Amino acid sequence: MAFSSNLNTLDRSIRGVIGICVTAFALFNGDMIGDVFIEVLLGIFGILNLISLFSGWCPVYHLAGIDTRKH
Amino acid sequence: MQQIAKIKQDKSIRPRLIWACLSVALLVSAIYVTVSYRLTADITVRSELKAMGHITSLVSNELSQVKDTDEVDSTLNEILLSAVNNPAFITVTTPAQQWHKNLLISSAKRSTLLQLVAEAEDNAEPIEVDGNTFLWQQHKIGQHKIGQYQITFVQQTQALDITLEFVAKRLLVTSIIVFWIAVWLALTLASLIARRAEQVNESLAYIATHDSLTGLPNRLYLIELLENSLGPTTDATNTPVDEGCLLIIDLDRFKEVNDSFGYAAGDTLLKEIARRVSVLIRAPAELIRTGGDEFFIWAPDYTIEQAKTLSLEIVNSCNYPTLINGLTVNSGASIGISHYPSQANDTAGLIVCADTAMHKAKAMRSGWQVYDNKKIADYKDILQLRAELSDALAQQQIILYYQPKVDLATGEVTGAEALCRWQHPRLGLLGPGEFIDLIEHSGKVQEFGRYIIASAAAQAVQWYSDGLLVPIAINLSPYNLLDPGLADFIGETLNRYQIPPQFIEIELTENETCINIDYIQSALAQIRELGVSLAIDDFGTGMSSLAYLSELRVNVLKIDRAFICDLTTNQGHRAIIAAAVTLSQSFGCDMVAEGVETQEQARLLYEMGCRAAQGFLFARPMPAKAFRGLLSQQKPQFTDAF
Repeated sequence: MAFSSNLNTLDRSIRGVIGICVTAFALFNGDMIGDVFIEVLLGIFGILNLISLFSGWCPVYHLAGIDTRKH
Repeated sequence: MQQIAKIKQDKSIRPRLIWACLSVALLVSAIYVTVSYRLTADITVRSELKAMGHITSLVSNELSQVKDTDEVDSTLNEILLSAVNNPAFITVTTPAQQWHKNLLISSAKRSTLLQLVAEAEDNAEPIEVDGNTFLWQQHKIGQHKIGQYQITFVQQTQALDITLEFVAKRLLVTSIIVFWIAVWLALTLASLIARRAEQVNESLAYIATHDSLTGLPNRLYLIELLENSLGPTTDATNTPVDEGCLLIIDLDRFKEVNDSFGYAAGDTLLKEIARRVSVLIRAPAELIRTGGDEFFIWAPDYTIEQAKTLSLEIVNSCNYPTLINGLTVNSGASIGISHYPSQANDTAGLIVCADTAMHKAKAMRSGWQVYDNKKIADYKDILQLRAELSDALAQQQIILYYQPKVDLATGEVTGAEALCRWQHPRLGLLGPGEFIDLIEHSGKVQEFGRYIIASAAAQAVQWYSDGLLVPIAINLSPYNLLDPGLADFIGETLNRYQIPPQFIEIELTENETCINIDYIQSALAQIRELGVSLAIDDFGTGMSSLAYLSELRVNVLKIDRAFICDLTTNQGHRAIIAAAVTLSQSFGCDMVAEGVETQEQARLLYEMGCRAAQGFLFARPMPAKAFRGLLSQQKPQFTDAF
């Protein structure tokens, strides 16, 4: 139960798109930002979204007891 | 009636919380971005002003080296070209002369700017001209070689552009991340709070709809359940049923258990009964405790037959003894059943019907009873009749009919039994069966008893004064005898009408005589002392015991019609009548046979030693006027009856 999926397809795909964009931006356009710290932050957020994309599980939803997946 | 729903439906808290948190997140992000932007802008402006301060100082230094006023122009030009990249100008003013040096700026614009600089209080705020932003520094020098002078340096600034660049690059990204974090925080908080609120709501709803002792649903829940099950479909929570049975279970001896063993024992018993009954019923039927020792079962889709089967199981289960404080207690239960929609089609009706049936079951000791809707067509009539009772007494709608008691030896009328009828303005003449129960449960029973006594006494004195010496027997229930002033009232009535007491006879119906026998006995003793004779009505059925008979010392025994109706065929009943006759003779009281319908019965009774009888063979109960006509006839009135 602890790591069971709690995202529906739409939620998951939006997160996927955001995750890919943000990670790519952090990785390849880091110079535009001009600050390593922000770059790292963006990277972390991007990766968190990618985790949600692959596992279908969101830790915040889990903590808050939200479940957007139709059982 | 939608109180529970009200508690449960409060779902707006979640979206409202989320909106509130999101707004806060947005606000925080906006404040964060604004403050950061202003901070960055301020710092940039300051550093630029500082740089301009250096240039002004440089100008000042250079000018201090100048020996001739003609060199000023070239010095200014040199500095401006070497140290400044943006559009700018330097103005040096002495009392006698003014030098201007422009870089990428028109003279007209310069004059405007100089005007604005002269008006400005300090140089912390940039000056806006034609959409461009300018910063300025001013330096005043005292007496010098070229005289007293003032340097004004104005430069177009890129500070805000630089800030915007920062904001675009870093601040924006950072604030998006901050906003993101705030959103998640908002969602988490909102969900946590909403979930907590839902839990509180649920437990409130549970507490409001459940009994704390047995954990069963309570009356509020029952009403809600019935409203949802019976009513038409109004929303998604309604699940109307085609039919169903409502059962009311009332424990027979709960009060005794409470009184003898204490409330703790009573509670234990209730819990045990709740447990046993819960085992017997199957969903969707539900057990509900509405208070005290009263339980309800709402059994959707149950036919009356299924309800009867269930009732039998419950009665058997309740009859099984419970161990309390090491003692076995047998509580027993009475169940009333009402059926939807054949008997009532709304909540109140269903409950009233089941309640009526339960009381009947209790009175009959029959365990369970289905509501009998033939008795009075509609429970609404019962309610209405109950409401109309006060009027009935006030407007003297209750009248007395009289049935003669006949001496079997002579055929003479020896007495009259007064029987009440309700001359109802809407329903016509109602027999006692249709309203006596209502009176006994209305709290008007004592008032009613007095009313009957007064009416009968008024009639008795009328006949007495006309020389018709016929005693009138009045039926009183034990409830009337609980009236503490009854004996006094009878005494007063006799006095007022000046009738000898032997013309009034009290017949005690004894179907519920078990209530407070000592009290009744003393009440009867007082009445007997007045000289009024006493009779036991319906002897041989109900609760009569021989000990009771000896203690009450009555004057007349009226043997119940149940023994008379099949007298000619039932050997057993004949034996009982013979014994009753002997008994009455031994006690020295008279005996009257009720419900005599055939000559054969009358003849047999006479042969067995019974001297008086009443029944349809002689006459049906009749209004006072007709009875008077009967009395006026030549005696004996019933010569050819047998």
